[in-house]
Amino acid sequence: MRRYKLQYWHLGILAIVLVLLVSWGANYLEISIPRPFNFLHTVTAPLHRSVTWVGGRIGNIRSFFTEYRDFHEDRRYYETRIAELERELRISNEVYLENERLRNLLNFEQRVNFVTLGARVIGFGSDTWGHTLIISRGRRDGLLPRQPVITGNGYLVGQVEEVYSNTARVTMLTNPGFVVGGIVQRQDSRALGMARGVPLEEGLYLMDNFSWDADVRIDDIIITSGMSEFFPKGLAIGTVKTLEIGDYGLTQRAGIEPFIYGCTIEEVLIILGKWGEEE
Amino acid sequence: MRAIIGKGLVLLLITLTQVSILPRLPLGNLQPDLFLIAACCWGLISGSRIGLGSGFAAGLLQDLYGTGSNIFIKPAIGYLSGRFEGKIYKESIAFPPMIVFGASLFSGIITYLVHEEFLFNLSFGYAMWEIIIPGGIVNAAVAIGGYPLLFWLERKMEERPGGVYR
Repeated sequence: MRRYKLQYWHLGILAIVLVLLVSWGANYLEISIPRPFNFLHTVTAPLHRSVTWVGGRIGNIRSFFTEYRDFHEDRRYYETRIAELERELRISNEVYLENERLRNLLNFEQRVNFVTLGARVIGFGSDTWGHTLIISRGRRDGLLPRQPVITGNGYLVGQVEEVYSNTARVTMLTNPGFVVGGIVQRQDSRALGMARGVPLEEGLYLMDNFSWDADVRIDDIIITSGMSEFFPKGLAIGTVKTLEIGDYGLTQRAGIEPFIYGCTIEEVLIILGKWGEEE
Repeated sequence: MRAIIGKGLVLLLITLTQVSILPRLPLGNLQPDLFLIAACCWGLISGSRIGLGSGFAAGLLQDLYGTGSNIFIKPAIGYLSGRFEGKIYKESIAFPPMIVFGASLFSGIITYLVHEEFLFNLSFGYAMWEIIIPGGIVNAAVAIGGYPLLFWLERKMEERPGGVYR
């Protein structure tokens, strides 16, 4: 009888099968198992931070030389713009104070701000499919899966997907599996739909399930509707750029341009607290 | 042992480049998959067994930051590429990019099929023409320079003090 001789590649195949069986089994039985290579995240995070820091410095030096010519024009533009914004801010303050007074009159309770935590983007997903970010905060900082992630100016970035000790992985809103309820931010519309990370054409993503008679226009701004358990109302998603009839005339579909652009995000905020909580 | 340590260091460098540097460049879907190129080239240079092992390590590292299917796709690519070892001239620079292109198509189609968020949300045509084929072309282009580099490193790592190859 021929004797079986164990070879290295047999062990390799056995290891792969074991990993697959364990992960499928855990998934099937809905058991949460610690990822066996979680510690590698902890080990490699400082390296990613360093590379990102060095890359940022090099980028700054390069941009000083390449963009010097534009500085003067930019300065003139921003001076004008600041003056305009200061004027708008004064008007907004008036509106805010008026709103406060009306709320008090109507006995409305005031909304609290979101409890947020800042994080640096230290890496991105390792393939072109997933559209994910690696951020410098993790379980030790109080992060939990499904918490919303935004930029400093309130643009929706995505949602925490997996949390490790010191880092976390965020699914961006441009990931094909990402879905969030959206609403048109126009006082006379407020049409509801579903914003998805499904790409349509260069830079545009699908927003569907608008009712057939919904008042949606090009350049409308879409914000989160707040109907989802996981996203507070009012986070800016993007701008409507295309419109078409879907589902044989029963619905409308829009192509929206997100406010975020993946490779330029450097810092994000994670919303930790209960949103929309009343004081 | 030198070869294993060397491959480990190359994989670490690839991880840092793939996760922290390449996504900062405005390449969109045209980012090369350095893990795939490495697994494929190591298979071509050293054979199925090394291809399988290095593919497994590359897939494991990539899945720390990736979609989760690389842990079985990359060893398969390493193993299948290794089947061509001995059938081509190792110094050839024309053949490896073609193998890398084929491996990229294989990897892309399997990734598309095993992830329901891609399978049910992206049309196959979009996935092929916007992600898989452009990615394959970029990978093949990078392999034109990457294969000779890895081949040279492999020879250096296998060099004995007396100057004799294993």
